[in-house]
Amino acid sequence: MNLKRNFTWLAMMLLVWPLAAGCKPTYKAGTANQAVMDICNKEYGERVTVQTNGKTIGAFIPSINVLKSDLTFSDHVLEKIEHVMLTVTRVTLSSEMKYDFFVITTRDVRTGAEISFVRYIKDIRRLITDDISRTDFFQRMIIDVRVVDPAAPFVLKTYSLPDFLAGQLAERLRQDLELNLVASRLFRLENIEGAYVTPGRDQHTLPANLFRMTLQFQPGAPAFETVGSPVLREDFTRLFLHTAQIVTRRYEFQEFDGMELVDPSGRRLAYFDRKEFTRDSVNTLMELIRSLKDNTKK
Amino acid sequence: MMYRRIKVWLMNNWVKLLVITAVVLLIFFTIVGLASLESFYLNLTLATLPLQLLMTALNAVIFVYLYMSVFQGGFSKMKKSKTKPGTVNVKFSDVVGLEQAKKEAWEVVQLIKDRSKLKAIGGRILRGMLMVGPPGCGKTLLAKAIATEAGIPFISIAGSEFVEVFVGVGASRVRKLFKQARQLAYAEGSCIVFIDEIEVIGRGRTFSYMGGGEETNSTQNQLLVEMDGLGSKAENVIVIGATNANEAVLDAALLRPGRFDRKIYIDKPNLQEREQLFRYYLSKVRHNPDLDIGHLARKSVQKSPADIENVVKEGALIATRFGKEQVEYTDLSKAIERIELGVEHRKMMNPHEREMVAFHETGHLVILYLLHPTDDVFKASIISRGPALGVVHHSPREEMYTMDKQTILANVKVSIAGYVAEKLRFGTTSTGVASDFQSAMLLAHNMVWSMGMGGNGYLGDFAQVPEAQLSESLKERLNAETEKILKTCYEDTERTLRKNWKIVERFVKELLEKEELDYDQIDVIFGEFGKAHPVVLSIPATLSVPAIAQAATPASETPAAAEVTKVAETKSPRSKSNSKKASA
Repeated sequence: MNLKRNFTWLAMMLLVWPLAAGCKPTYKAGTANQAVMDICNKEYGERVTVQTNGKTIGAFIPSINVLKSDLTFSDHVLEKIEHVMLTVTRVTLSSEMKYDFFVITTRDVRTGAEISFVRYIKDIRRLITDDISRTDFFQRMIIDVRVVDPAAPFVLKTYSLPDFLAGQLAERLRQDLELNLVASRLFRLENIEGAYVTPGRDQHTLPANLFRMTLQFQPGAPAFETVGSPVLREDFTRLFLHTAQIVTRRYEFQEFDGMELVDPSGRRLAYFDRKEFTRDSVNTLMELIRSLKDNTKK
Repeated sequence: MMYRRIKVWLMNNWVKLLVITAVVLLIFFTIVGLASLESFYLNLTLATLPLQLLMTALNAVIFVYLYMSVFQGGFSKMKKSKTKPGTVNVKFSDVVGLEQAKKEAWEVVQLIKDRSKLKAIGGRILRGMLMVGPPGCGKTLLAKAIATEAGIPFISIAGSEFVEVFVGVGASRVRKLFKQARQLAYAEGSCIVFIDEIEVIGRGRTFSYMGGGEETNSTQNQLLVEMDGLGSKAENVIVIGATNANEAVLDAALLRPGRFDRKIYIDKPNLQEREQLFRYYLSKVRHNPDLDIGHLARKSVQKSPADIENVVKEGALIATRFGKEQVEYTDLSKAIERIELGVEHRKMMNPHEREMVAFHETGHLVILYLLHPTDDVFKASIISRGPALGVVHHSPREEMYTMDKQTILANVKVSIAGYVAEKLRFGTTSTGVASDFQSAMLLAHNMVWSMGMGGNGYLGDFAQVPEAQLSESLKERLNAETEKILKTCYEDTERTLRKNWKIVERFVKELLEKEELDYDQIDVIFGEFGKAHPVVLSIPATLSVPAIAQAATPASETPAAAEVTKVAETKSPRSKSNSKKASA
């Protein structure tokens, strides 16, 4: 009996020990940058530069031939991005310092093409714990493409949740194929930029916190108000509202007063008050798109 | 020896050891693996660990259960109690009485302990020992004492545990049992296997000319082989069998030397042993120190140690029921009656029926008292107990191991006395005499047919001869002799009752008033009429057998010589109270 009892105690202690070990974060505050660089170097043979700005951590991967001729990512770059993203994920989740965002930036050192991937670290945690689906997770990312001076130093932008949501909103709208077809054919919409504006930031804005979607049209595109019927234009703008509802609801984000659609000059094309962000039926998006198609045919 | 014990332990527990090692290694590697994880993933794993452990444990339990029930022996798996020498802890001093049996058992213990000396001479330790005796006499206790005193392991199993619906399971269990016993013998030097109720598997084998046989044949065959067969090993496994049945019931192959070498007869305790037993069991309860234990012992003739223990326990319960602080003689006396006669339950009888019962029981009582040579009346009652409306409780004054002709005739007379009393008083009888006639008929029949006690001079056990081989005239003559014995006993009984009718009426009156009369009250009433115990079978050493017979026999019986015959228990049961009037 004594042997049994001793063995039981031993087994319990052995199980408790890792519990105690698991309570402490693996990476102390201030060591995350070096840890990412070391892991990338040791495990993947990648040389990266890591910076921290506030609660945003960024990794910079210089590469060559980032994009292929068809403007898709080269395989070797994708692999690098994947490795670095995994490493940063590991470190940020197990770090004493509580990061909110990470940015993975890869730049073609010959052409200056720079692509940044921005992720909200809480989304990763939610994915791992099966709190959100994979499809939703893939949509929760900002992909920023620009061309810069190849020799320019890497500058890490600090993100906040509203900025991230605005960017994500724009990204989702860009990726919505149906919208693109309608948008590019009828409205000749080229790009959408998202931003979160507050009274302090923009002196021209009404005293309110707004999501501002800037619609960039193709050169020579007709004025927005002249395209199609009022119903068509309303349906078109309601798509923006629908996507904004999804984003704000999924993040449970309440600190905004509305959303406005503006043209590059700042002229307001549409405005949705906070009150309009009520829950719509599931079929609304499909109904809207169908309606748009029908009206387009007309 | 330590090496052997370790080896046997490993052989028996290697599966457990393997499982424990695997579990420990798994835990170790799990911990090592977890320790290498980063804190987020470690916390995540630990958070799901309890659920995973629960699911794994559930799977393991289901798997192990299925494995144990299907693959670990299946039907042939059996429970057996296996005890190490130290845990049995019953010494010879704990076995009360059984002096002769203990002496023989002590020899066995010495043989086991000093086997090296025996082997030096070239002798062989006995293989088996058979204990024969009535139930509750201490066979199992003695076997345990042998194991404790010899300091060897003890495996106890009942014969019925070998019996199963499926053929071959019994033999398989025997093999497993002996395998384990040999292992223990290898580890500890020797081992005792105690098989209780061995007659279940040890009775004579049946051989059918068609080649079949009972399932127990195969079990017994295996037992024979294990005890002394071709492949039997040299380990010291001693088999002790216990049975209540007659030795003749067991198979001859089992009883031959080389298997059950020794036979110990464990009989019911004699007077001194009963006193010791009462003292032993009373020492465990609070009792009056002035209890007449000798009287109790005399009152408990033919009681086994288990019966005596039961009496003391029941006495303690009765004392508690009456709120006493210690057990008194009356409590024990009531306990004896309760056990032997049953619990009272009063039936509402009409006065006529009640009177009839009283006369019936009085008939038994008076004849018993006046004519029976060996038994005393301890109680007469007209309170119904069980199916009986009344009872006359009697038991022998002392141990008697045989019954002579006079005693048997007295038993016949006592049995029919109830009938006679009813007839004399009411001119008719009732259904209550049926069981009395049954026992009277059986006794008379056995006297003539089996014991050669008939007056016609026919000797022999005619009951053993197939009926077809007896001539009709012989059967007629034997039956006529039986009838004659019954008639003679009837006449004798009637004569005695008529002669002592006043005593009968007196007893009836007392019984109707008090419902129960005990020994002392009965004695007093007989004393009033100047009747002491008229027949006492005490044998002075100077008297010859014929003289004894003449002195002990009433006038109606004139046997040529007293015939003392060993009576088989099956032919003339020694019932404790054979005078009950059964209800219709």
